[in-house]
Amino acid sequence: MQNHNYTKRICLLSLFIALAIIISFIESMIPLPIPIPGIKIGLANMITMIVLYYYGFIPAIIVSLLRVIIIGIVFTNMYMMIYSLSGALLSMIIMMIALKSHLFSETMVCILGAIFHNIGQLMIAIIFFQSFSILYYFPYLVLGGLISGLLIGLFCAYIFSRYSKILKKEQAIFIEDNKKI
Amino acid sequence: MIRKIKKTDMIVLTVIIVIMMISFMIVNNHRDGQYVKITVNQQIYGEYNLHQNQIIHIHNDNTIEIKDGKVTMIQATCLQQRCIKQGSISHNGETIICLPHKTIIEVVSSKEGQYDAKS
Repeated sequence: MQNHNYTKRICLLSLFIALAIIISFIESMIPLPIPIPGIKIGLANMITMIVLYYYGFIPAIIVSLLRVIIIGIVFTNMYMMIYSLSGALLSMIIMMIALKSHLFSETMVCILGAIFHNIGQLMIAIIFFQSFSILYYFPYLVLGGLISGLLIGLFCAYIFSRYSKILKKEQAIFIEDNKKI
Repeated sequence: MIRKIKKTDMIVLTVIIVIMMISFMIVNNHRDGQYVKITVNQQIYGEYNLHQNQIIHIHNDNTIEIKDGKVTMIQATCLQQRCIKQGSISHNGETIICLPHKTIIEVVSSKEGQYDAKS
């Protein structure tokens, strides 16, 4: 029986990873007219948010990091992967803290995640370039994070309220399975 | 439909917007630059006069054009071509950054040290 439970868990998480990768891929095909390096819509953050809210921190970080690594290997190069990785890691930690503090609504958690994703990338860029002139982009990156985080966050809040029944049901099954393990 | 927006949300949002405004103001102190500084891989590639029209090739990866006091990236070998889309820069402190080639093109007001143009 134990093996069966693990299988279910692995399947669920890989399903989310696959979804996130597909969403990232679709997003990469949407051309953005904004000429600032590192700005993107961040649609995949939606999946991370759902996993974070309903399945916990560890599954969320697994989904987020594996998505970045797979996207990095398949579609982009090593440098871009390191940028995304640092951004994803920082944004996950901030989102977890924001969630655990119970002070913020879903939208705000998403906005914070998006902004700190950009800040994480900026920090790595400063280390790579050994130059602070990149800080020129800081306000633009914050603005970008604010807008994309707001849109994705509102959409997440909508999904959470619209499909709360299904999500909560799945969550209950997931927690029960975890207890068995 | 959407859960209530909390008070702390608004506080943090205001703080973020204020930080953004302040950093925008710091960044956009428009003064005309005098020189174009190119940094590749953390090393200074060269400094060029902004008011002298020329085309500069950087390691066959990027090509920038200095024209009428403005710097534009006109050709790049990277995939996303974001550096080209960044358009032209002319003010002090503005930068064009190419992440894949670790290249920074920066407008500065004065020469730092004695880096002569390699052209």
